[in-house]
Amino acid sequence: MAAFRPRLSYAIASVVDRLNCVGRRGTVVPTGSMWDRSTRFRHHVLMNAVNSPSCASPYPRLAGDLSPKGLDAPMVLAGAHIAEFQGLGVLVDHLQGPRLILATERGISRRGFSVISLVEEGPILSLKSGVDTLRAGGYVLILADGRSGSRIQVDVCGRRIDIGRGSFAMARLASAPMLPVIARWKGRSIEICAGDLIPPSNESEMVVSYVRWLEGHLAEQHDEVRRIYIKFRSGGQLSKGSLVDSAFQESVSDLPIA
Amino acid sequence: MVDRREVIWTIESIIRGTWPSRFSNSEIWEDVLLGEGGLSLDSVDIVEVIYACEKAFDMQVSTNLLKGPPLTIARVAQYFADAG
Repeated sequence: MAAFRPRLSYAIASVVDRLNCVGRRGTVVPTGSMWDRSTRFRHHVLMNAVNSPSCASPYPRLAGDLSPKGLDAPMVLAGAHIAEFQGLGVLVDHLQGPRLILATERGISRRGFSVISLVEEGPILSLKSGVDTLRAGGYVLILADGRSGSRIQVDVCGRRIDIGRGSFAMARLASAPMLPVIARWKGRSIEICAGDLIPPSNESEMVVSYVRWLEGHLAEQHDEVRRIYIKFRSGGQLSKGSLVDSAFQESVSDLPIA
Repeated sequence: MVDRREVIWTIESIIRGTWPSRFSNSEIWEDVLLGEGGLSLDSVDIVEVIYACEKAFDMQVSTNLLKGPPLTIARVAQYFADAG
């Protein structure tokens, strides 16, 4: 159903998620079961819709104050491995011009934007495709806190972690600014929270600006979410469930957490 | 068609010019890998070399070059020599 009636599916999933959280308000269950995820059903619908080739418009509505029309190309949209990062596609869907999503896994290119798998196509082709898209006056979405390729060491919340320099080099090579973005659910819609635009410069300077924004965002989250994120980013072994739960718990803006 | 020897010389000059004191003369030769096991350039460095080559030869590389086996100076040179 998600592939054929995604908007209706998001509405239903939103209600089910809300009912599922009744009695659990104020609790944080970062390592809890599937049922404890407060955005479980909405995420499930999103993944089904996005991964369905027959679904032309898989994304939910865009909520919040950020206006895609106010984002001037070229621009790198720099996400992070927190919140509903799959939902950042909503923003890409609302933009005009050449658009590219650089993802770890294979994705489906649709309606004016392409998806390139970093794993399948490799870092050289992915990076060059990104720079070419930006030089053509487009947008590139990437999770900039990845660890692949050569890395830059930086302190996040008092812990030293490695961040791949590829996203930042892409911005530098294309002389494109970087906009830090996070997607989170707001009822049946996705809200995009953006930081300040980071001007193109050398990678080390850009990483520091990006990390300061990331720290500011993490500081607003529950301690446990922050701890799990830092552990994951610094190479600690985590179960897939705990990572996903930590991401999801803080992605809910319409249900209070702790 | 561009002369292959000339292309190789240009690519070698680009690498020497971009990283002046990083490689000795003996390290830069036509069959050396640009990445791991050769010059150890990372993906960002290699893309910078590719862009410098595109500028030097005034042509864009296709994805075929970047999708294939690991890049060597000779392979990049052959591509530009054939395409030119």
